[in-house]
Amino acid sequence: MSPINYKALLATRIEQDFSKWLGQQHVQEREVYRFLHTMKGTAGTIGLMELSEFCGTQLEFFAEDSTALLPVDSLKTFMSTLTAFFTLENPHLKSAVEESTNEGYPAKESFVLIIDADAEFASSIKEALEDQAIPVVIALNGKKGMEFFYTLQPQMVILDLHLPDVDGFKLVTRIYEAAKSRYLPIAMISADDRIENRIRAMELGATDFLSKPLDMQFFVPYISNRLRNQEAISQGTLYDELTGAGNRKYFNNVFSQMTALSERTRIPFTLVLLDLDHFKKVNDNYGHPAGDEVLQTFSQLLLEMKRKSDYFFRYGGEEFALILPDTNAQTAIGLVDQIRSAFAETTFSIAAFDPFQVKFSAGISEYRMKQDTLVSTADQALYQAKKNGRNQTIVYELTDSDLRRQLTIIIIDDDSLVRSLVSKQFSSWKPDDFDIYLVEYADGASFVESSWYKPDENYMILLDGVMPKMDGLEVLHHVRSNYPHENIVISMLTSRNNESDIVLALKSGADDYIVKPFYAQEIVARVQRLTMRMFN
Amino acid sequence: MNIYAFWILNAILFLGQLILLLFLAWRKQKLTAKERTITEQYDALTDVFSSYMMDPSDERFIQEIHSASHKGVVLERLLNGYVSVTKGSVTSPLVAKLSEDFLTARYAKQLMRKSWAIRMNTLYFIEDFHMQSLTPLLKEKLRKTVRLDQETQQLIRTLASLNEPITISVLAQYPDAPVRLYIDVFKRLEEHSSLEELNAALSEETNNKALKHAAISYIGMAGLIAFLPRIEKELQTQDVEIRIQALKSIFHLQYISDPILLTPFFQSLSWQERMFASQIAGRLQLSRFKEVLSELLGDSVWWVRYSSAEALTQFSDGDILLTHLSAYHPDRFARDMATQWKSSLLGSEK
Amino acid sequence: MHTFFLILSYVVIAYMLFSSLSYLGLFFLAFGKVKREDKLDRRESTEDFLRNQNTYPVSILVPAYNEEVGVVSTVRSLLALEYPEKEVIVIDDGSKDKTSECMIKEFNMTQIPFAVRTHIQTAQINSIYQSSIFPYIRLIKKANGGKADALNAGINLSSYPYFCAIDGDSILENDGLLKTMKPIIESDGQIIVTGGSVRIANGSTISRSKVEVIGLPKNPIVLMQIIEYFRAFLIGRLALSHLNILLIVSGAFGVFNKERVIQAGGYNKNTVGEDMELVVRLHRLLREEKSKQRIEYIPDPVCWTEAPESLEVLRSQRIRWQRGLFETLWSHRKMMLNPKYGAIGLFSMPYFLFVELLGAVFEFLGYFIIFGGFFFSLVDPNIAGVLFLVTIFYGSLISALAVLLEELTLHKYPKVSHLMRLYFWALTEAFWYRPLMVIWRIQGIFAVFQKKAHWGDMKRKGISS
Repeated sequence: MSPINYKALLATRIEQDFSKWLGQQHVQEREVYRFLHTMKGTAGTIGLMELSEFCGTQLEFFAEDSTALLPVDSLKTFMSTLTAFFTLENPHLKSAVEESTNEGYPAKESFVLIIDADAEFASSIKEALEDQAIPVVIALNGKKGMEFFYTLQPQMVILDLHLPDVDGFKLVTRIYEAAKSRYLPIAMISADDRIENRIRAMELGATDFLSKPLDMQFFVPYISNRLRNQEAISQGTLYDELTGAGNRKYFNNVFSQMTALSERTRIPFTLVLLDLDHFKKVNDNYGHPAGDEVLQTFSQLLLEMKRKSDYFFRYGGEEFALILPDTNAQTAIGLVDQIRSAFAETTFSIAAFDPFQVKFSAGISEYRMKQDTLVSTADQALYQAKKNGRNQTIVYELTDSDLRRQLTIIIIDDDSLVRSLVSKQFSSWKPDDFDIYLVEYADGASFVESSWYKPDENYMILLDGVMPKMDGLEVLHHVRSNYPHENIVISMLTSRNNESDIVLALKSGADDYIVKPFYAQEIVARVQRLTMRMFN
Repeated sequence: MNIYAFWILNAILFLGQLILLLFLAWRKQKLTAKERTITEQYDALTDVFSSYMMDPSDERFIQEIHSASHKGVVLERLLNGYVSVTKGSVTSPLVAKLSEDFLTARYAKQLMRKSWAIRMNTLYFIEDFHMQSLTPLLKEKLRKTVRLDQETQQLIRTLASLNEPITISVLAQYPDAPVRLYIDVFKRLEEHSSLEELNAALSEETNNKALKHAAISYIGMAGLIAFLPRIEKELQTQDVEIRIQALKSIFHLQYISDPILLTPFFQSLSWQERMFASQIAGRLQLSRFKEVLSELLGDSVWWVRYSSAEALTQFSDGDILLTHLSAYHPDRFARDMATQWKSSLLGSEK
Repeated sequence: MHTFFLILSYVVIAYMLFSSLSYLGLFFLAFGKVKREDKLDRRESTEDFLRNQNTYPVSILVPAYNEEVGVVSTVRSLLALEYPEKEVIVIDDGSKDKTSECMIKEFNMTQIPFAVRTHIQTAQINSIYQSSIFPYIRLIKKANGGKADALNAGINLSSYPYFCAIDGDSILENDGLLKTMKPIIESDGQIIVTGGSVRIANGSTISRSKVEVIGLPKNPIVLMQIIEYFRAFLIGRLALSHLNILLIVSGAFGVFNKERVIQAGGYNKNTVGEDMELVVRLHRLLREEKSKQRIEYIPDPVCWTEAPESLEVLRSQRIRWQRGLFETLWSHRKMMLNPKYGAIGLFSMPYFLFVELLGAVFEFLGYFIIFGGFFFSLVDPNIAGVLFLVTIFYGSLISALAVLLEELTLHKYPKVSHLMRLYFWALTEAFWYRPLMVIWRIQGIFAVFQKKAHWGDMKRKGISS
């Protein structure tokens, strides 16, 4: 590394901060203050004295604790002076500043989900925000909140710490991963604004913590700030540039969220795969710009015609996908048919060519069990549609083989008492819709060597982490690399209270872990929950 | 020197050995047979034991254990296995019932045995099974002890697990009682008692340094944030070791009410204080200390250099600072340390 | 001439009687402690440490030179160790075989950039790997520099305050490390080194790194080595440890305080007995500082190792040991009989000089005189007879006693037939095994003056099936 590299690093860091600011229209005063403060210190320590002094003088113009919003435009001079310190080393920085200022993001309709048991309070917020054209949806309890979170795709969640049915913190934990993948801000609100609660909220992944009563004067700009930010980031990363449909990454996120939701709530959802017929010919005959126009027009139509809660993605090339929450296959057919007739009225005219039309085929599959199967069944249906002569919709039909009615619980532990205690617990579990078989192994090696696996059955493996002969992690590796994933659920029984080992087990493909010592009853409850997805 | 004397010497020794050999062989035979029976009974009872523990109305286990020839050992092993794998067994009425019914008399006798190992094992088991009924006996035993040997230490731990705060005052009678043992006691006492004892340990009038030391470090270990003001107060004390413990505790609590409190420790004469101050500054990302951390990178003590570099990596611009310091810090060792941590940052990203 | 041999005979007799008695004396010193802990529940006495945050983390160093057969099973047994926080560092000391390749393949290792702190200078380190399955397993590939150098490299890379060195051909029992660390933890760090007892694995059934059935080998050479281990560990080391004058922590298994070792300068590359040499150096450091810290030996945790089965390999091993002992005693001769070094200087060093090192010379003279006395009337046959009896006493009966004492205290071998076989083989010691050892040990003394130190070139067949 050359000795001046740290300057470049610093320049990049500044660039990042600035482009973030430029992405929003306002910056909080104290954020600017903090930026300058850090910069002063860092620049001072790394020997950029002029920069440090400049930051020092600038500091006097900003207040440390002010939450006032400064328009980004007013900061431009100061920003360009700052970047000028680096222009010699880093000429592209300045242009980056200019470029991104010109780039505006389309204002898309975004709405806020409020989860609060206090209906009066929630509706007062709704009123205030809707005055500013920000739609609001209210959920009065955690369960409803979860449901709305997944089905309605809000752009922001505000939730109260105290909910009638579930702890607010728990709710944050549950939605955090999904929220993160959508860059969705979560604000916690509570009258109980003790520091522990604030810390906890931050630790669990909430974006902000606001104390009740809210200062409405601040609250509205705060919400629009967060929404702008969320939009700016997700536009850049979750949407396909050409068509404005969600990209593949976004598809994967939404898909797994929907799967999770469906598993918990048993609310159905449906996947539609759409493929433009003979698209290659469009490109060959009329040129790529024409192809692009077709894709754009098709997407535009879909975005207009889909219901608000539906998701639309460009799955790849000329293949698109719709995820329809709370919708069964029958309803999906209706929607696709409407789209088909609307698209049939669309004519493309390219200079020097005759006008032409494009058709599409669609495959539909309703969610039953597993992600892989859903996508592949929809794909099979789509293939069938193509094979049947294109321009049609096919729904994937369930066959009997999809219903599996047996669960083998395998307990692998070198301690005979553990095996006995655990299997005794299961003896009282007699589910209606499938049978339970219990198998015990005293060590990993004898399990691995045995012929335990039959392709059409479902397995729940309770695996001791530390065993002689063959370590539990090794057994885990063996199972995950030699057998399919979807019909084998693995939970590690581990006495290692070492976090890294648990992380390791989860990374290596364990679905869950149970720390020894455990509550014997807890094991059964966990197994029931883990295996539910195989029998829904 | 008479050769016969040597013959006789060898012969006697050889014969003596033969007798010993035969005795040992006989003993081995017997022990093996006994162990085999115990294992057989254990295996035979595992299943009904599990059923009983799940549903005590299934009384087959009680009937069968009565007829087992080694019921004490077998039950001890079963219960020991049970408490080590299941949670909440400390308060399990079944464990209490079985151990009180079958083991109380046996353990009361064993505590008086001559064999040190047997007494030790018994103390371990009483702790594991939470046998309240033996508390008076153990307290009596504790009253009679004069030395803080391994057995007394375990006796104190066992009593602490039965929630007897008296153990702290007994420990305090031994001036050389190790800090570790006090911590063991705090860990075992029920929450209510341990909070009370911690409170007392931190109060002004205690002169017991080991106790105070243990209390401070236990608070950090257990994350008892409510004690933070008390811990912060200890930062002002004259006693270096206590101050170091307080810093360590703050490091574990990951919280400090006012960072200013840390300032003097960066210039402390004790390197441990400088080290912990650096670690805290890093852990809590107190950016006001960035400059002093850069200075400490050139400290004369390796640990301080190490910790300050580690602390710098915690800041968002740590890589920049370290890159700079690795090139421009006036001290050669500081540059080396910065280089090492800079590359460790790169390493962790890959 | 006659008189000379007569005097010599008396000297040898006196010597043997004296050392036999000192063996017995040492044993009785150790007996109490071993016997006392015999019935202690190992699990109970260590389980608290397993959950304790104050249990110091340990780096496990596995130096390996041409160990492709055994290294993977050693590391696997280390994974099963019950210990809250540990890391395993394998040091491939420029092996010519596939030691590194085996590790990389088995544990899915990838090369990582890593800044190694150079506490101790070592040969060039080529690359460092980390397992993607178990991130706490690392592998150092370095240029060849000998076992001591490999261990030093491991110390440099280790990140924990204690390290334990284990040979690439050994297997450690599940709770071995916890039990070894117990004295260190309980003494709040006052104990800076603990050595654990080493057992010979030949004959036991070991399947995938776990000792399943303890058994005895058929090969008498190995059987005799087992008896020898009893004699050395039970009688010698335990008592010496009790007196804080333990000189050897076996190269096969020991836990060290890293800071202290670095302070002492790490392992010495110029001796073949680097483990003993380091312990002596640490003792010296402690005495010179007048420190209260100690070095301890515990009889219990069991580390299993493969003993040589052929005479040839055994010979080179013994020559190496003897050389190492000599080199150590020589380089620390300043401590010999020096009251400044307390019991170490006054007792331990002379003990090792006269009993362990020069014992071979006296015994050789003994055999020489017996032979000469009976066949060439070098001395009065009566004297030769006495010498003969003393030799049997010293060689066979003491060893047989060691077997009985093992049974009395630790009784690790499960069957009565094991005990019988060990006992009767021990009785034969003076007639064939001991003379062999004597000759090799004398060769070892001469070997000191020959060439430079290197790894032993034992042929491994691997102890795990």
